[in-house]
Amino acid sequence: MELTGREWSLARWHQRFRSGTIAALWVLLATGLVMTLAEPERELLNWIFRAKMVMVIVTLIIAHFLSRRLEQAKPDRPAGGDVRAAAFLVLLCWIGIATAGRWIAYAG
Amino acid sequence: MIDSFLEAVSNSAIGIYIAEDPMAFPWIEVVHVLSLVTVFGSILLVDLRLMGLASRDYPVNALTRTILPITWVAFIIAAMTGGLLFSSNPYGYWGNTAFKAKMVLLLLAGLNMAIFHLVTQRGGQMDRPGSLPAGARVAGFVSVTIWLAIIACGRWIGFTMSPF
Repeated sequence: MELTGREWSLARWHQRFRSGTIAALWVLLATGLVMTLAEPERELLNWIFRAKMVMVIVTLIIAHFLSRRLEQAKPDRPAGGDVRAAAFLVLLCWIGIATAGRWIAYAG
Repeated sequence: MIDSFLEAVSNSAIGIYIAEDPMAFPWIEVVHVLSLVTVFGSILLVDLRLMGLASRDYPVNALTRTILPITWVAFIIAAMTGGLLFSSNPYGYWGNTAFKAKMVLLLLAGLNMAIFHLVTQRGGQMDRPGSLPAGARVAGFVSVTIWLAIIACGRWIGFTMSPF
């Protein structure tokens, strides 16, 4: 969204965080699987959990295309409107995922 | 003195509302978690740089200028929502070991940050890429350790007491 960190190009930020983000996603997947296996009924029968999983898939698809777009970005060029919009969308999606994750404990 | 404070919070209109409304506590907790995640994520960026483990070509002063405003806004929101959550069950939180540990750790995190900004950062050598003085590396390590412990204690509160 180009709201912060302008000392680096988008390509540089992407390079800096790509591997760390992917590693964190694997940890989330592994720990999420363990928690689901521990209480499958509580999770799988909960409609908020299902909504969260749909949001995760949609977010990962958008983030994948955003990542590919950033890989092709020229280091000295500012972000285009499409990149800023996709970044905003991914941020909103992650807020939604975190919100749903917390609400699983209270409702469903 | 602490008893009268806890009683006043417990009998406050906002405390009673959060304790009784089925939607209030979960929504405030969602905002608390999101803001705390933002605090930790933004501080982690700076801490990894201080330790020399990442972003070594990003000068620390520039990084703190761009990141810390986000950290402070998120921290203020986390503190406000944390206070609201506390008001729903002040006696319960005050008697919870994980809660007390979290408060002590927050104070230690603040102390570590104050020493870094007032002593280490003013000592110079921060506006260059590459390795930083030992004081900066230690401050980064202490900070990330304390914040991980704060998150662990925060999660543990949820396992050791009912919210209201």
